[in-house]
Amino acid sequence: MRSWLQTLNQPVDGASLAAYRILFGLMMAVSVLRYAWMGWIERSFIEPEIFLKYWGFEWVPVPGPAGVYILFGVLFLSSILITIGAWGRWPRGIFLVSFAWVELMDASNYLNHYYLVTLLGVLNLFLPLNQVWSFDAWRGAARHDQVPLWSVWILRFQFCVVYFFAGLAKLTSDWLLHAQPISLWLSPNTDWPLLGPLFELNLVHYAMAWAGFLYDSLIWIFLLWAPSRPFAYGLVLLFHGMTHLLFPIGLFPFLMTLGTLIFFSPSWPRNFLQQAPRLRPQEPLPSMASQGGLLVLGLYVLIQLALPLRSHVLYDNQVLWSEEGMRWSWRVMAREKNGAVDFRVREQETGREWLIPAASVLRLHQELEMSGQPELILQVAHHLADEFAAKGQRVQVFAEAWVSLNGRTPALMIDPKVDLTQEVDSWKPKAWILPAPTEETRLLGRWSLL
Amino acid sequence: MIKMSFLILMLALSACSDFSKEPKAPTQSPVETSAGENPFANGKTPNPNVEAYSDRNFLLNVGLNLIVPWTQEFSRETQRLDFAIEDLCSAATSDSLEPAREQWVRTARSWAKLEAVNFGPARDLSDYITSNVHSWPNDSLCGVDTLVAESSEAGRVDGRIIFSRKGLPALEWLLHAPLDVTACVRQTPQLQAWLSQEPAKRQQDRCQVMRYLVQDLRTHAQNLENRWSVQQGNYTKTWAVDVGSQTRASLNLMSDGLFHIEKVKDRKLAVPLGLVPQCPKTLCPEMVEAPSSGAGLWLVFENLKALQSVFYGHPLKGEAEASVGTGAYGIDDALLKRNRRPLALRMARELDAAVRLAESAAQRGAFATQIQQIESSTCGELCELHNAVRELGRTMKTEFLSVLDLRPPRVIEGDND
Repeated sequence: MRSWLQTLNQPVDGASLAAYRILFGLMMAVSVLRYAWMGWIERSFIEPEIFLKYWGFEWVPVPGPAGVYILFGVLFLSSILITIGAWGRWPRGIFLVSFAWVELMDASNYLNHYYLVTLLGVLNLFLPLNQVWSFDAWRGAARHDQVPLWSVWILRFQFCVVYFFAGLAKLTSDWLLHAQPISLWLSPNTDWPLLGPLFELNLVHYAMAWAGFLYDSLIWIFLLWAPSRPFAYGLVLLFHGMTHLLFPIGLFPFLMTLGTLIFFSPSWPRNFLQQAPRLRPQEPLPSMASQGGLLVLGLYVLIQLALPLRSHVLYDNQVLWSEEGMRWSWRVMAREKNGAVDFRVREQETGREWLIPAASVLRLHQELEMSGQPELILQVAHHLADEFAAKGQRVQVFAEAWVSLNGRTPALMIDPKVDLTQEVDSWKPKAWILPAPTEETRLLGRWSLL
Repeated sequence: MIKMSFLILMLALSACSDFSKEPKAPTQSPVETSAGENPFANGKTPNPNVEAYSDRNFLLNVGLNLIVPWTQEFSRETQRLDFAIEDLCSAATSDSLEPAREQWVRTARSWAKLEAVNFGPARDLSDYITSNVHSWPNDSLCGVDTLVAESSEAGRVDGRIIFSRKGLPALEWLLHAPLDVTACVRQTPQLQAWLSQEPAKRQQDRCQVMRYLVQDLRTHAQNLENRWSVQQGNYTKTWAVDVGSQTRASLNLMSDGLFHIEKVKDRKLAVPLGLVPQCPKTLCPEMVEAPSSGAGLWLVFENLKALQSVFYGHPLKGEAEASVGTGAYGIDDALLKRNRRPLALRMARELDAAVRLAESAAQRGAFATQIQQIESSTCGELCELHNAVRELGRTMKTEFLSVLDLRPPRVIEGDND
């Protein structure tokens, strides 16, 4: 235990953590501005009539329009304060609470990189981020140039987890044997200058599918190994540059490209700036791990491994279809799913039935997410039952959810005979989700340019 | 420090690049392409179907060979409606009433084709043209009666008319409603005064408003025609050529328009048939489209027929499945290019079924009358039509969107990982 502690507390240059802090804060500030610029604040948090909740977080309130704008304002300000490294952990705590609040308000906004930002936000709370190049260092509140080794390694671990499980998620026949959904996503880009015709080729689809799988599965190893690191980082730039150009995945490529700089030597920013380290030998270092701290660290690591693993172990190997275990498990860009859902509401007293299109209940971005996710469909079914109950009508609610997974012929995802008002959400496998279609998906491209 | 500043600047710029990265819907400010790339160079109208299939050629074909003729047809029909109303209003007898009513149906049917591809100029400025031409179901027939009474009192039509009081629904009402009937539940003194006028005066007052409204309709029809016309606005070029490699944005724009089928399914069919809670009773025949003329099902038919034409790239003449991949470029060719013949065949079948059911339902008579005749709990062929449209809509929202990698309609761009 002691040798572990010694190793983890070994002092290293705090410059890479400072660079990480600056880049993280800037990215978040830009991200908030971008969100507002795109009109997504209104779309996501003001216009919807109902909000879809995460299981276990149904209690998270949605403030009114003024509250939402204030929340985003707080996010922006705290991001700026993180960037300049002012007032210790306070801005980081405020950022984490605000970001998590925004993320938890509506499950239809879930993105893997938002989850990553939340986790980084948690870690940021405990990391000595303000030691170098910060307002706190300038005013003398942070007095060390060095940080303990664990603070760099926990970030490396976090990025390794993302890559490793993103690779594992691609270990499917759709991805590897049928190049789906890559084939679906590349085929429409055939009008691209120069490269366009290549995107029609099945071989290119396969090459990119396998490259994506190998990249996610192995890149973290090459980033960890010092001799291969520069080459690996070149691949990081290439890979995320391509994904940025080809797919609408927002800040994710930037988050990974800039985040993985943490794999370089802790002094990389000084080397980059050709600046000699100014190491002041004060003791003790900030945020030294104690035995208790080591336990907490170990627990965090375990949770980060267990959560994604559950999607591979607990459920029926049809996660992309049932979505059970899909969230918090780094199944990044693993599927293309489009659904059409109608709810059939039957009044118990009269037997009269109504058909309720999902679009009449949800905003379209919510409908898009809900239509492929059984637990969100369940939520809407309960919402409809509540609405009818408020008018004094007891109803049963059935869902006709036709879903196309990775370009397959649409199939029913939910048993249309099951009254969803009698079902509850949980982490247990859901019997009312029908088995995934066995039909093999097909490529969209051709084998030759001729 | 300079390098650090550079790094930070690059970060900010690269993240900011997302502001402009989202696919842009074509605008009316064309980006010039070189003559070699511009099929409209030297004043030519291209024939995209003689070249190999590409998404651009598909868009060009839909624009030039379907939508442009439809806008011309609509413009022509509004002109005829103008003449028919003039005949009606200038004649002493009511012999001209029926021809005017029939011309209204022809005009509405020609609009229904454009409604099925509702994107581009028709939807600019918050649906300006669409709202002014056909505001149903947000029209106000009581508002139309009030307009007539107001105009009667003023001796002229005040040009500041809100969209719910004009366009096709208003003209339909004025052509069909008996002179002693008003759509207003509560009558204002002004309206009561108007109703107490002699029938000839009331007809004259209606004519005053109809003349004004049909001119307004003509203006919008002409505007739409001009915006698409190759010689004038040439929106096809903006949409298919000026976007360069961003044809997917244009496909998305068209696909958004094609999802008018959801309105056909839900508002035009399900509501009157009492299938959705918006109908508070068992059946809601009064909520059909074009209730006075009884042409609602013909409008549904035209909506579906137009969608079918876009699917094939030309109006279907032969057998549905055998026509897949033949003739001018359409959605079928886009699917074949992506190795999705089974999907293309299924869509062909589903479209064919929906079109046939709509046609046979329309031939049986007015929608509202048919709904009133429904006695049992099943609504027979009308519900079959609804189901057929539902099935088609389902295919479009699922596999169709996946294969063409399109977004569902009106979904604002979002990140996706």
